[in-house]
Amino acid sequence: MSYYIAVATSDGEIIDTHFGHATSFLILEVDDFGNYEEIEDREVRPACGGGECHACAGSLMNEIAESLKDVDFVLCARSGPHAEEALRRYGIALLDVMMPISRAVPKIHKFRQRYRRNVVL
Amino acid sequence: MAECIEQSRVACALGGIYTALAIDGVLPVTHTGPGCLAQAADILGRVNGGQAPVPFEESVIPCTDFCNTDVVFGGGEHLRTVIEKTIEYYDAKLIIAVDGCTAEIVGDDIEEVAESFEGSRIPVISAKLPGFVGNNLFGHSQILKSIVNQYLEPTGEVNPLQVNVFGIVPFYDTFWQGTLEKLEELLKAIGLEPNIIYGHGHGIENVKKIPSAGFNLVLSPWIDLDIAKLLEQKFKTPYLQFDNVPIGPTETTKFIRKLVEYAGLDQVRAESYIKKSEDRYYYYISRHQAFVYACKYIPKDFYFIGSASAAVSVTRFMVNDVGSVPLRIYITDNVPKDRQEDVRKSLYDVELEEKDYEVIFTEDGGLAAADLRKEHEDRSVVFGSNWDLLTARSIGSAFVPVCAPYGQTLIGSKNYFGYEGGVALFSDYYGEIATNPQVAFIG
Repeated sequence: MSYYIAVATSDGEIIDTHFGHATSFLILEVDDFGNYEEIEDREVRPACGGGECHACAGSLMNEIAESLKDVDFVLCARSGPHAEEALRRYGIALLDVMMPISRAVPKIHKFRQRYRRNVVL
Repeated sequence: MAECIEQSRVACALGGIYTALAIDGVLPVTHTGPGCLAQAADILGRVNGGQAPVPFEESVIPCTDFCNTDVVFGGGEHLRTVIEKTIEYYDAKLIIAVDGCTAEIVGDDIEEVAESFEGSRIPVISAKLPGFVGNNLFGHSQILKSIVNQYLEPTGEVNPLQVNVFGIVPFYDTFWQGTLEKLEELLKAIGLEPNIIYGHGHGIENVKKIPSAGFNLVLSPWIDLDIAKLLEQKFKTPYLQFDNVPIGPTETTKFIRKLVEYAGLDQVRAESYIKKSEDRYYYYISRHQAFVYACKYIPKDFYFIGSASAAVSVTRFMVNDVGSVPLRIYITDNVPKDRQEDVRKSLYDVELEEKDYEVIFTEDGGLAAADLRKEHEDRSVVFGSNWDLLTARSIGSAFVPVCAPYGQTLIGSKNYFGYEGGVALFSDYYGEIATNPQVAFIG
């Protein structure tokens, strides 16, 4: 069964955007064999609205989490504990990693295959 | 291992880093979760006589803060960055990269990371400390093995009088620092050149000297025998095992005579040292005799709950010198099955006609406590760790702490080693009996 990964990226190639700065998340659908395709560029209101702090524990985090509730993993360059907590409520794992999407997805897929029974981090 | 453990007297394998921290200038870099160190710090440090490593206290030890991302993407690069920065900022002589359970489960290759720092300003070696394999004694052994295999180099010369001291696990043996100082004095007094790697006044230079020793001395029933064998195989250094850290005149004299015979030392000098020390010991004991007899109560038996090393030391002294009899001895530090027979033999090797006491190997301190509550002699003495204080109180026994976790107190340079240690242990033992209202003679 396929699953979804949301990626915070500025160019569609490299995971380079902070969670709170992302205006959109690239949604990838990954099949059982680890092949993936981009299916959507989902727009969100950025949690840290342009660098100014909006008390991130508030509703914007939850709004983003709500809009990403169909994905299993969210990849971004950097994130904070409030973002992690908001996503964890929806069973989404938030991982900070700076690398090309083409390298990150196979690693996630390998991990998911090894620990399929318990993918909630 | 036991299925579940109540009142643990050991830390997880990560507790092995305390062996590294006891060597001046050695800094572990931990590739573990952010909280892993805390559990070892309690049993081996703070609640164990208020100890903390010097100069690198627990709170400054670099840690990779192993988290979710490292589990999925591997934490090797993360560790490499932390080691790079450690070399930049810390004034250490040797770095040991260690990993814990999570890194071992996901399979990070810390050996490769450590090897990549070959030729750097501070040498980097690695040791694997997965807690699911063993306790802090396993960790201790892993750290020493790493040092021997990855750091030591033959010195090309052998000093027949130099003796390396092993078998005392720093921090886990609460009295380690005081014991090593006194042991050093004793070895010097009989003409040897002790090479001790742990604690004050020693350090990485002593570690480098390990291969040039005439022989290795192992002071324990089983701990560090693997290291002595490894050194024998690697540097052809023979080893002498004495199965405990001697307390009191009988054992210490036996220890000195064994050393003199083995190393071919000056017998006259050793015997005069023995005579002088024994006289001093009995002088101090004689001073207390009037008080002991006036107090009118001397328990004839004792229980022991704790580490195998402390068990052998205390049992020998209590039986051979004080004349007390053990009733049950609980060994709580997961002695490997193939070593249990050696420990048992050591515990029964005492000057007693009827040796009808039991030796029980269990990691579950709670089981030992429940056992004692069910069946015990009134007004006896319990030797053990701070966990056993309440057990002793609840069965109306006196209590003398002798092993980790020692308690929330300051250990200072206290130790029970040798002739003087015998006096110290006897006065702690009888002082407790005389002042404990549940045990002392009242009326």
